[in-house]
Amino acid sequence: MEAALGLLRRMPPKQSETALSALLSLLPQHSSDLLSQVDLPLQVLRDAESRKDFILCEYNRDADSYRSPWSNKYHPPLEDALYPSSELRKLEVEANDIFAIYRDQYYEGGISSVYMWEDDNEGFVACFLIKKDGSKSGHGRRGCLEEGAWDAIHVIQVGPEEEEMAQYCLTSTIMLSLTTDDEPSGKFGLSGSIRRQMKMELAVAEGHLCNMGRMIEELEGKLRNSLDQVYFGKTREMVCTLRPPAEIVQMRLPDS
Amino acid sequence: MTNVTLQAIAGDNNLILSPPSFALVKAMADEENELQETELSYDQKKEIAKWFLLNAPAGEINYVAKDLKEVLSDEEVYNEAAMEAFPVYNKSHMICLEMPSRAGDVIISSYSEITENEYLDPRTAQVAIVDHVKQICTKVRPAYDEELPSSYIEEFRSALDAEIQRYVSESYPKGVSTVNCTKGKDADGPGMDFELVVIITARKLSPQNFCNGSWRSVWNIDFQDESQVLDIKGKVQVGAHYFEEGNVELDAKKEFQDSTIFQSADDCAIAIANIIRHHETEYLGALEVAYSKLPDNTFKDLRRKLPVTRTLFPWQNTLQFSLTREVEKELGLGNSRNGAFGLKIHLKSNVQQTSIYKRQKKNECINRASLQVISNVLTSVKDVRPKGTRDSSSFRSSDKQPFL
Repeated sequence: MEAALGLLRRMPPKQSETALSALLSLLPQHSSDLLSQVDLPLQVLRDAESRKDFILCEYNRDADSYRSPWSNKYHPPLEDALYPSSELRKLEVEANDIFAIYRDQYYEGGISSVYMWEDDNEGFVACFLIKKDGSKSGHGRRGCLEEGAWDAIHVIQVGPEEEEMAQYCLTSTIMLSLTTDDEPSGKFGLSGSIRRQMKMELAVAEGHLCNMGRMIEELEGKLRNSLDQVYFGKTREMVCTLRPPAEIVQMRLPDS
Repeated sequence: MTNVTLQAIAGDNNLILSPPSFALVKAMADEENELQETELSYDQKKEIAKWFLLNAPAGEINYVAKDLKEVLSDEEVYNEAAMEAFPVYNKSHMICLEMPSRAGDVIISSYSEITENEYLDPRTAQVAIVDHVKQICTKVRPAYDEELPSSYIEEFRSALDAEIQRYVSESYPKGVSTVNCTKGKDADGPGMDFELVVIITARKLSPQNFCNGSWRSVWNIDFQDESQVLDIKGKVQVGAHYFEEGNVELDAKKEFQDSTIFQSADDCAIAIANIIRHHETEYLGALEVAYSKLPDNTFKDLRRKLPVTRTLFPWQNTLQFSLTREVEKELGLGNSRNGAFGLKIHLKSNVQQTSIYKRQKKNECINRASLQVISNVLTSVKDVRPKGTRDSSSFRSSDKQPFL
């Protein structure tokens, strides 16, 4: 299992789907472990009734059907399917509406879905998903990306309420891939994925949605910044190490 | 070259190696008890193993090999896959191996390949015999006369080699280069076309810092005797991999085209080296520009740093917002068809309220009070209506939680 995860860490991020399916076929006995620890680019389905797209993931799946957060119906239809309790469904509906606005403000497009379900320890789990195609042909406002994919997966575990406080444990994964193809830089592609966790104990006075939303906003912002500054920054540093810009070479010459 | 090979592999085994449909991956998981269904043949395993090896980032094939061995737990499959994949990987990455007894370095590439295990180092006129899987040069032998270019060609080759070496030592802290003759090496004087290939590679491996990178340039110079023109084609490929608590990859490449006039060997060498220097320096600058555009331009098309409103999302007002919507729904005012449009308008008014909210603490109490009234009304409305059947049992088992 460790070796399998090691391999996934080294394969090009763009090939993660192929790498995972190869590992699944080599290690069928570990398939549920692998699928629970590895995030794949998100897929989308159309909810014809609500005339809206929704995102597919492990959390809205039952057998081979996926539940739409808009109509609460499984696609394709499924008998005896699992649904969240009506109380939780109410929160889910609310979360979907609000998260769609959040998504629009930060992403200027894209698709979002929120799924919730009760867990074993009297709390619940919520999964907030965003998928954005930022390419020229997609929702890219500035039209600078030949190809641009962003997938955000936020899974948040909410503990039972105790003395007006609740424990929140958020795990966020960002997967992205962007390519520009302009003169004079040619084909320039950056891709990758990172995952981080954040735990907090918060007062529930303002509601779970408010707490979950703030945590997601904070962690998503942090992940975006570290991708931009740390991860992309490291690859930029590497390029400059391989072939330093001329000014640096000239400065070094007198020494050598 | 790697890409071609990969496509070929994927084509042969499209069931396993083409990007799987989501459903397929899930189906595989559901079939985990039916091992018969997913049992792979020897060849399928080998192809998968080769795919992993060939996709290893620069300098990481040995780490990939170690993990792969463990995953396969089949020595025979691994060995055969390694025998086939390592030579392809070594040549496409143009790795540089040290020759024994301080004979210098040799670059492994298809341009210097004599047989699969023998590579010519034209600078020293030696042939390196390599062990691909161990990535070492085991022996060297002097090159046979028929393996070397004619003295006429060698004059052009060695002059260019010297110029390129000078350029590489000035521009690449750890660069290596070689110049091979790939066409017309037996020309014994003017009147014949020939081709030289310049290879420049630089690698920086620092696995302890989770960071590896490579720069590969290949320049083909076609000496056209009749038109007295040198046709120059270049291809530069830069890769970087940073994988500390994540996995991020840079993949950049560009092709170039240029030409100059056929002159004496020394003048050609200087002209070619200048052209290469010019293009590579410009390319590096372009990469810097591409990086500098990222934060405020390119990346913004994926996700903005701040919302369009330039303030953090007003989560504290969303309760109110959703209640407003509920009331509308209950009163039959809401129109679900134009939901998204309607929501935006509400949000704007909420944002305005946020600023008032901040300035006048008084309003907060009023807002809260009115919210309380609304929510009380709603609760009473709800109580009258029958509630849906509530499923109190857990509807997802805990083993599906994605926590590490």
